[in-house]
Amino acid sequence: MRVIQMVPSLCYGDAVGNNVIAIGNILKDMGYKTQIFATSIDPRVESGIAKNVRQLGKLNDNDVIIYHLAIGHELNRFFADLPGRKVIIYHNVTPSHFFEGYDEMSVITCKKGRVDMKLLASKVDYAIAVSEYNKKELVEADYKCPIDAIPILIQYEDYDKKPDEKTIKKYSDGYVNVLFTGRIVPNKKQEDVIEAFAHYQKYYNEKSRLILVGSHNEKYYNQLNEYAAQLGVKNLIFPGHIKFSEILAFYKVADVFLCMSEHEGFCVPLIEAMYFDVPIIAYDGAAVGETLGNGGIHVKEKDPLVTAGLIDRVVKDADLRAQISEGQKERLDYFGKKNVEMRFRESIKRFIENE
Amino acid sequence: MANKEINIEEIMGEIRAEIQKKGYTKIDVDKDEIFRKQVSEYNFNEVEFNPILFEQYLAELDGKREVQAYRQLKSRPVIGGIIIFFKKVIRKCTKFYVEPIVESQNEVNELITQLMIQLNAQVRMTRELESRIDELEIKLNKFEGDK
Repeated sequence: MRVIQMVPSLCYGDAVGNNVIAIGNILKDMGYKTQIFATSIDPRVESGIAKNVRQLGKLNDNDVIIYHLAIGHELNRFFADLPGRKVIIYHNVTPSHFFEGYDEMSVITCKKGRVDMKLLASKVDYAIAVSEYNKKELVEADYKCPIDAIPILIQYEDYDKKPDEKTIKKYSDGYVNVLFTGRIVPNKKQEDVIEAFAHYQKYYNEKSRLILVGSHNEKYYNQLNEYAAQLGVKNLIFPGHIKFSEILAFYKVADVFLCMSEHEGFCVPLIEAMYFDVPIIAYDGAAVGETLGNGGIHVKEKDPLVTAGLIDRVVKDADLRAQISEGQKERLDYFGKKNVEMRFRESIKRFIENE
Repeated sequence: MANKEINIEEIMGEIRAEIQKKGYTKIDVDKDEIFRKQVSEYNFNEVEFNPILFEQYLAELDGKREVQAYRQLKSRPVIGGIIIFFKKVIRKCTKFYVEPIVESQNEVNELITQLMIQLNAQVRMTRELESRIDELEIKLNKFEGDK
């Protein structure tokens, strides 16, 4: 019996890619004969970790195939037709409407992803959702198989790598640094982050800057710049595609992590902010509230003036910061490697060995 | 979901009171105007596929696709030898040479744009059919599963 994992693209350093590799290590440790297959493999991924799907070989009915679904791709249907016992790990698919008018290719792939997610309902024997929010979507899509909500396995050791000293020095200048990390795409609602920050900078603290880390969609990026200019925002930084050590450095210098995203299946950046003890203010959309739990400040309504006031309060009120920090640490423990790994081991073992 | 230690509602209430007291107002910028702007002058997502237009554009594009890089130069008598005169002549010759090529290229570009708009419309139509097939496939799978 083989326990294989399949993913359309194995990317270096992203949440899905890291999860695939972490699960691969656990399966090996559990003594299973395992391998990762993908249609494209990021050249930065350590050689030998994954193989091309073309090298999959013949599968039989005893084999277990774990498939990571996060996007529309031809592999989704290829997986559906494979023999063996099938497991889906659902990372969520961004609703396509967020990309309309910005990125037609993403509209197509996201639409397909959602259709494929429904199509796989009758094809899989077991499902793992990375959040309760995702589990709810699977139930609504008529998945009749057992479903467990098990968070993403985070490679915390990566966060202990050396941050970029130059970046730390450059931005440790007495300014209040408001940070958000994540691709600059419409569902992450960076415009709402900019809007709240504009009010903070205008009414509470001129000596402040907003750092929006992430690769960007050109049209949306241009609109964000225009919006920021019209709001009169100063010190808006888009570092673009940067090295991991620089991302770590931005967390080190951040005073507040501000998330206004309206669609997340889990939201790893929240965990990163918790790890670096950056107080979080986040809009309670999709899986964000669930990931935050009792950590950070949840915002139910998007009022830029109130959010600006909250940023000011968090920056100035040491007691509040300490309370937030305590809550975030508690939440971080819940997502701790040992805890999540144990839950994954138990669940997958139960499925694999209950033949 | 409320934080068990932090009374967020109380903090929010204090912040709202402070905003009111100090007279803070929202910065007046038309957000929708910026984020709903059309990139193209063509509202291409509303154009329907027109097979007659498609063939017309294609035929026109075919006739104009070959841009002439070299045109026959008429011989001109050279009267003087001063440099400025030569520069003026060269400039005039270059203008005569370059402008028609640019114009032709622009015409071709315009046609390509029109053609791509039509192709886009057809792609949309195909996509709608694909979605319908997907829906039917899901229904069929469900039906087979229920049997």
